[in-house]
Amino acid sequence: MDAQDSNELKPDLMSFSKTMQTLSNPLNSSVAAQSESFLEIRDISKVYPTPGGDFVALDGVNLTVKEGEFICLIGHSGCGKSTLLNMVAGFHQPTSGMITLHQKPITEPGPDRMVVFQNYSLLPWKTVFENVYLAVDAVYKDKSKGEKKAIAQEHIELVGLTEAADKRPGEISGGMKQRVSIARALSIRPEMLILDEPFGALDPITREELQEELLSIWREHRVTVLMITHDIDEALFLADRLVMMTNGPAAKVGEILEIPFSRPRMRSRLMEDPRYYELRNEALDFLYRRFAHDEIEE
Amino acid sequence: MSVATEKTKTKPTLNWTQFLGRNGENIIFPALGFFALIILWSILAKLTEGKISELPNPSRTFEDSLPYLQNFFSQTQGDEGIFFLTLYSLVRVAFGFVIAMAIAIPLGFLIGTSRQAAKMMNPLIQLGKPISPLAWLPVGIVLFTALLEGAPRNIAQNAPAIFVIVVTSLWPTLINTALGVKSIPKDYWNVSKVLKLSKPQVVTEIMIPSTLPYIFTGMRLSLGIAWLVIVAAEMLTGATGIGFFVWDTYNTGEISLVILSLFVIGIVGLLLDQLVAVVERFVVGKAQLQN
Repeated sequence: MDAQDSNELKPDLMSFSKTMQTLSNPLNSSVAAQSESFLEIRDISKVYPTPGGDFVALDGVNLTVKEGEFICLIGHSGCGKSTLLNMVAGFHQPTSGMITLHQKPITEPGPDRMVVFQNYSLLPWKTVFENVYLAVDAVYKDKSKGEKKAIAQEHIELVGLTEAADKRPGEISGGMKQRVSIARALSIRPEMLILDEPFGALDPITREELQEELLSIWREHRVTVLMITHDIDEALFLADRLVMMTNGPAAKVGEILEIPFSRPRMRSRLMEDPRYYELRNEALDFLYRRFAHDEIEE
Repeated sequence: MSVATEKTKTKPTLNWTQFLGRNGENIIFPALGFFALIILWSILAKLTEGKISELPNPSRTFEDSLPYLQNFFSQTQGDEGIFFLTLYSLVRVAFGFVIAMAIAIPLGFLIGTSRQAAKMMNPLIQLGKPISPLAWLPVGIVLFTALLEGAPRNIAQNAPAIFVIVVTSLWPTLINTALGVKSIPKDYWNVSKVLKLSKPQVVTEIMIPSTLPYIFTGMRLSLGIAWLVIVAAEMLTGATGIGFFVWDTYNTGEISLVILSLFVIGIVGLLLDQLVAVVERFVVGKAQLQN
């Protein structure tokens, strides 16, 4: 079933990506040659001053992400995953250390690192189309209205929501809202897609559907993805590397699992691979034995 | 103790909805309320019967009012029908309300977005809000008699009352707008930051739409105050208007007409409130209210 679905999607996506190339962001093409050290997180720490003394959320986090890589971040709640993501997005600044994109430090949020928020963050008074159009309109300032409308429509089509384009967020399901959020993020051709537990609130079937859609979009667009998840299986299905974080306070990168499965991945095939269970056990071992919640770290 | 024991007893209760039907309930109970009012009024009228000042009972009020109501649209100077008296008041309210909103909404946005502006304005709001409307009236008269010297008479005459409406009805909208801006979810700000929306875009795309329900709540309260205030202000200033009519009929001893105006004032106030509610539903829309 899964395989069939993704095959059916393919021709559409191919023709789509061709049209997209003509619209592609200049930022994106200028860096195509560079593949190493796309995003560098160097010795980051984040300290929050509190009345009872400083709270160290992150301490000495290091991570290098290659262009086009799909990275999943996993860790127990409170380990500072979101803090790290917010710093990559530019909402917060690290207390010490540096995050660079193409060797340039990240100082503020920008459409080159588009965020898919945990609770969708759609504007409820705007329709699906208007929500996507707002992003397109804000980023492509010198395109004509017609071009911008076409871009918005293409991306709504990409996530299969053409029929719901005139509905408001209050009238559609959670899965559809997350699709809109993804369409909005992709419509502005970001270099990086930052997702904070995007599928956490969805039912298992919708979650699997969206995981597959995200993967095919990622393959077609070659966008770099940084995604927080709570779900080991989701990470193993999606990611090139799984970054596991130690427990907070003073969390850091504990271990990085390389996920070697060839792409395109098929869920059913993956499940039959003995390496899948080795990796899964390794992740489980890290999360529930070595860094089980409420235990003092090493 | 006795209250507590009474409460714990389970009394056999009559199910009104079952007995009357939902529509029956909606008619019977409001009618009961009015009936109780008429009874109370009749008792009070009875108590004053034959005394120095007499409160007319309901039926006399109705009889006395009838000829006046037949004169509803009269435009005769000094003997205007109740329609035009009310219209004069409504025009003053409209002017005052529009000016108040033109001040309150932008200022509310400023206070909601700027901590410095909030610090500057908060003491003034705290100070201004509790001042009784009519205490402003002498200030208004002094101010506008001076400022509008030589201006057309109808402007100079109405200015103090409109001034009082402005300074008393702007507070609820000001406070609610500022609260609305402060209540904009962080997510929306994050969206505007990551998309690098321009300042005007932030205002039109995010701030105004997400603050609208708060603004309308404020506007409803403000309009209610404006209507309360105009009646009082006209009793002191006007030679026209429903408030003036209340005072005038009181002075000529036509107490039935005073009571008639009370009903008119109440009904108009209710209609004004409903008007804002209808506009709100139209502007804010169902979709947003759901979310």
